[in-house]
Amino acid sequence: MRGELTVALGLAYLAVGAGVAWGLSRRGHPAVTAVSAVAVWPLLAPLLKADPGLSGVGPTATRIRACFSALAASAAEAGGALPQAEMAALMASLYRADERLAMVDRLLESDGLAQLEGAGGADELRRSLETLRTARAHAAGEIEAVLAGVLQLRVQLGIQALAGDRQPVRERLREMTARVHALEEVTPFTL
Amino acid sequence: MSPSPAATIHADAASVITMPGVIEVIGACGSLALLGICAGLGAGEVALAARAVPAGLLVAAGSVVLTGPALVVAHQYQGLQADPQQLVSALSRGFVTCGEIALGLSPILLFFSATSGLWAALYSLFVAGAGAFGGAVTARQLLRAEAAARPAGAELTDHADLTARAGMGGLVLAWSTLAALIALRIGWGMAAFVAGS
Amino acid sequence: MELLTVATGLLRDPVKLIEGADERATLARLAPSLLIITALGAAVFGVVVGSYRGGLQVVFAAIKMPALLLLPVVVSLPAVRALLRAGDVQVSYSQVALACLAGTARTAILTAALGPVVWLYYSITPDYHASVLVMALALGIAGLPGMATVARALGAARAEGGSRLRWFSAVGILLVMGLTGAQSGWLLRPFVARPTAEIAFLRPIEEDVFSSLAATSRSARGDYRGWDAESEGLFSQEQTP
Repeated sequence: MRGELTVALGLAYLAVGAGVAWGLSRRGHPAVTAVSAVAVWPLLAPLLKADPGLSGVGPTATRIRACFSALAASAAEAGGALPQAEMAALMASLYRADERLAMVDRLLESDGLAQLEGAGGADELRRSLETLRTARAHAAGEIEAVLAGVLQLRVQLGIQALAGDRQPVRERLREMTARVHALEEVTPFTL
Repeated sequence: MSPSPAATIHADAASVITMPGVIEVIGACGSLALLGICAGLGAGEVALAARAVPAGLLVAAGSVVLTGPALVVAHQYQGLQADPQQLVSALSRGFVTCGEIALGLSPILLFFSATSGLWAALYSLFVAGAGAFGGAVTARQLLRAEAAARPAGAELTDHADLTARAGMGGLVLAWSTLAALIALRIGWGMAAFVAGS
Repeated sequence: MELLTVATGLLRDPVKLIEGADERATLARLAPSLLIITALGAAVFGVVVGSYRGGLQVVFAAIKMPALLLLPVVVSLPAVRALLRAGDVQVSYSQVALACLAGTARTAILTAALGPVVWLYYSITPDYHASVLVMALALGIAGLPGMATVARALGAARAEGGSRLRWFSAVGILLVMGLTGAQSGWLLRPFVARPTAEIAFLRPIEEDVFSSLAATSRSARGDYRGWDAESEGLFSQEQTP
């Protein structure tokens, strides 16, 4: 009976793992993570709850990570602590915006659209694609501006270390988060 | 997810140990029963498995239920300060902690049930461990409840305060010992029941 | 290059490597690298251990060694978190998973680094029991920094003021990990493979690690009862003389 129990539990474990792997791949996680989940899903199950934007798969994800790592390093050197809630909110917003950029890039690079455009597709399609490219460039520019602001925060942290006042840092983080949120509301394109 | 025991403890005079909700207590009972199910799967016989399921729950709940009233009575008899409601909350929090640990240990017991014949030994060990942890959390919260209820500004050298501290410490030690012995006695009976003798 | 960066971070300052404002994002970012490092490092050690017997045992051990490191972690994860929370250490499931993954990857790198030492020992001493003990010793030595990584990473998250119950938690976690690690090693045997036994990927599930330890201690005194060479098992292979 123990042998049957072992086999049954093993199969159940792998089945749950397969489900978790599928869920992770749907959320845009790398193939290594998704495949590994079949064997080690208890370690990776928390990623199912993660905001897809937090997986860091877009074109600016690496820069976002680098900027925040540098900010955290500066905070550690200055002996101060960053307001975690505001940091997390800004990172989440940036990753979501980055994920949207990735989605638009995949759309623009898709074979079907390229063929339609190249083969003299309808004027309306060309105008829509042009608008989409403009919106994409605008969003990317806003992300870059916010990342520049994050790097400027490093200077502000030095001032905070002297003055002991975290309010300017917290407010700055909120301003940048609001700026990234604005990308979700004002997207100037119509089809 | 129930809050960690420490999340509900504050050390100042206005502190309150929050009573766990009904869902939390039912969850703790369910977790202990789940631990029993995981053990029972390793038993190899349906009847034996069925008897194993409630064993851990009865040990933990029996220990709390049988010693709780005695604790409150002794506490009030000694004239100590904490509100009896806080004592009951502390006992309940300890039971909920015991359930949380039992839930965490269930996959391990399932692993051993499926791959070895150690289900009975590990079931006993895990119930004892979860109970010990629950008891430690309860003891700590009882002491904190008494400390929080002490009059503000009490000096360490105040004789009455020292007596109260010693009294509460002694009471918690006595309660812990009684609860452990009762749990052992119930556990012994449960072991015989599960074994079918 | 990412793998090298993560591996270097694991060796120099693993706690700094895994810290971040959002632990789920950090887990998402580091999980692929940590898993690959665990698999590669443990596989290298498995190759060394399997080389004692040679042949197909090298491949079998290389495949099973990552499982030996990951199985106890996977099984014990809920218990670790429950014990930490009961000990007033406020951690999320993601933090525990990330810390355990980092600790396991660190252990894997260190076991790979100990590989040459173990190989050298195997090349000069053919005794089977000693070879098994050396393998266990190497895993133990490499495992200590791994567990220290987990403890430091999670200890940083404990509540203000701390609690003496966390020591109680630490003992519980050690016990739990030790039990599951020992049983995992028993389940996934053989790694070194007896010279007289036939090569098999896995032996049949029988008894448990504690009874095997008792049998081993009898063997050490020259009493070999209970050590029948198994001729069956998953993917077993006939050994021609």
